[in-house]
Amino acid sequence: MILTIFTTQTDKTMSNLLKIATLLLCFAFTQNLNAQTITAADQKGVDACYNAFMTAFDNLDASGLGPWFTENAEEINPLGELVRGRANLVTNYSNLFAYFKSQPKPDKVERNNTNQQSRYLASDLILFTYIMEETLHFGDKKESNKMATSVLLRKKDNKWLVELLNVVPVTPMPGAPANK
Amino acid sequence: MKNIIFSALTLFSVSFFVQNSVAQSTTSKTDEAAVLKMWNDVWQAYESDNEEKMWSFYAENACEIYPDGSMICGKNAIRESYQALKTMLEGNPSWTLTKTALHFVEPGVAILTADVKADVKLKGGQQVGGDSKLMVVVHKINGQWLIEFDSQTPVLPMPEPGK
Repeated sequence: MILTIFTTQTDKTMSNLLKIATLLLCFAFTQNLNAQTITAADQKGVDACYNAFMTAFDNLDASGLGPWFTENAEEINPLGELVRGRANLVTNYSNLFAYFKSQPKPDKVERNNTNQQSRYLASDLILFTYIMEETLHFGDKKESNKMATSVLLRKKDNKWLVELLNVVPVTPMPGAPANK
Repeated sequence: MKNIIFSALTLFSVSFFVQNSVAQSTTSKTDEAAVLKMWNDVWQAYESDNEEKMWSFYAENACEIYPDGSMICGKNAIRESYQALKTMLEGNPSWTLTKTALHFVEPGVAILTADVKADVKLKGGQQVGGDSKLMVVVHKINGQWLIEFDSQTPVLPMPEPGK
């Protein structure tokens, strides 16, 4: 009898210890998520999203951009317009690209992303910020611009999609420190 | 017997699903209220010059993009930048926020957007305020809602073709 009670108590203690250990592990995982660097597999998925998005953008293909936004994606574009939802974003990009098509086409576009920071907010959410420096070549003339960009990416059906896109033109204030 | 077990399992699954749905919608409303309260507290802390309280709402790795496109990451770097900006200001800036909207990406992550009208003067009289669009990403960490990212994009007129 005593042995049975002792065994039951030991089992309960072991079971409780296991539960506490599991809880602690879960808690530690949640806390560490912020500090984790992006895994190689996720980085590959993020790069695939970025490359497909930029290819569609360079081809002025609004319908090609659509699948890379989530259904409820939000964007604040460089003009300070807030656009909500994939369908509205595709319409907005169609209008923008119609304007681009009425302008001289650059011979070459060069892009360089600096100040890149990316981190997990959850296992299926990555916040990615960077400064995009773009140079458009028109014959021997060049036009350069910089955009501070932030993207919240969401993993859906094993693909990383844009949940939020925010682009702010870099136009330093006189006397203010320049972007590092 | 088989039917009883099957029915019991189905009932259990359905009741579990219903319980979870109710819990989720309740959590969402509670979280929405918590995020809006946090946002209000941030502004109260700012307006009452309680900087310690204001910074307590920022995540350690928070990033900010300012209306001039400068980007700063890390709570300490943001604090230092704010102190530097204060030395450049003339008078107290005023901010008016309208059309505040909240969109939950997940139960623990939400996006807040608002229209901002700012009156900010630099020493020497230069006006750097104006209309902008605010975006804030908030994240629930250890039960507390914190700012992970915020930005202000100035509202500009659409360029007219040929100009």
